[in-house]
Amino acid sequence: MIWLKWGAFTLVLAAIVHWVSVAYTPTLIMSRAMSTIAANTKGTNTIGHGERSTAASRTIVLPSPDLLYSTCTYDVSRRPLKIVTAAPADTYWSVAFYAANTDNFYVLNDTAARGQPATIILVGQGQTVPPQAEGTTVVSAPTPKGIVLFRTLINGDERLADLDQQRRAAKCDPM
Amino acid sequence: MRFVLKLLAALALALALGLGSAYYAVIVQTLSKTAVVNGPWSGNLAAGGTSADMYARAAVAVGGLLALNKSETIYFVADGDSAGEAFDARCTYRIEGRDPDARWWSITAYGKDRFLIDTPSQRYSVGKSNVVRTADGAFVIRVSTAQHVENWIAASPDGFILALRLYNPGPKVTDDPATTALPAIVKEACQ
Repeated sequence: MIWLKWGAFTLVLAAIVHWVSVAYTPTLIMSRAMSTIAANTKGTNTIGHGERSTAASRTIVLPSPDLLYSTCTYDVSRRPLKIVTAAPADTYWSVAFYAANTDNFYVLNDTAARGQPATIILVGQGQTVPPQAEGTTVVSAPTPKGIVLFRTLINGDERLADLDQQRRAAKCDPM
Repeated sequence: MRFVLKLLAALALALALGLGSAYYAVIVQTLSKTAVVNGPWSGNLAAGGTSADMYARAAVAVGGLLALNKSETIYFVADGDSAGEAFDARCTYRIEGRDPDARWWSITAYGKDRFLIDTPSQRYSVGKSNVVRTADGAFVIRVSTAQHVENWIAASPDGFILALRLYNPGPKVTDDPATTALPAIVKEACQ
């Protein structure tokens, strides 16, 4: 009988360990990614422009050497964030929003934006913003913290310097 | 003393069972369930989405952190050739085919740790913009530690995997990524 009790105790404990490890894996991995990116960009709610990926780029697995990454770790717990995309010409670009649990809850690319710079207001739960200029998109963040990731495709080595310059027009600032 | 030993044994067993079953459920069950296989290429279409399922979300965090959704980009990975054999770093591999149905594509080599391979050549990838095609539009790309003049991706002597990215794939690819035409990977000479 005593062994049955010990067995049941072990199984319940194993179930708890199983649930906790699966449920918190995404948050833990994202938290580490956010800390590393925020350190590289010198804080949250500010944009940083990474160099072209090389073998020394070891923040996120499978980095693409054909993309220029710009990042902004966000925290909209106190006030909304205004994001303006750059619009490098004649190449693919996108801006993707990720919640703290890894969900990709919004993405916009150059085709959808018709090649023009786009303005996106990221609001936290319960926040409101005054009426915005036409064409501005208001997006609700499912978690107060997360990552905004800008991608610019290097469609030719000869374009690298020009694309690097153009993508630096992107902004990520608190309102 | 005996009670403490029993308690420690139960804790250790629970930890092993809990973590082991979590690994199996996320990596073996969920990642493989959501994988699409196309020849030597395997892709996880759950990457870049939103999911209410904690297992799917954990699988995405492990296998495709900060990935884009499938209408934006489809990611395939290969760790072996079209004959089903695992890559051997002593061999040269030939990737042959035509442009996949996508706005842009690239093939990149990574080390076993899934980071870019540290080689002086920095020939990490070949893509739609820089691949050299024959007159009929086909291409042959070589992956090896030995240097080639054109269409060459540098491999690591410690082993490697390949990633194929399809940016803005065509609707036929997103609808049926398992049957779309993707480049074949053929083993050539080995050292």
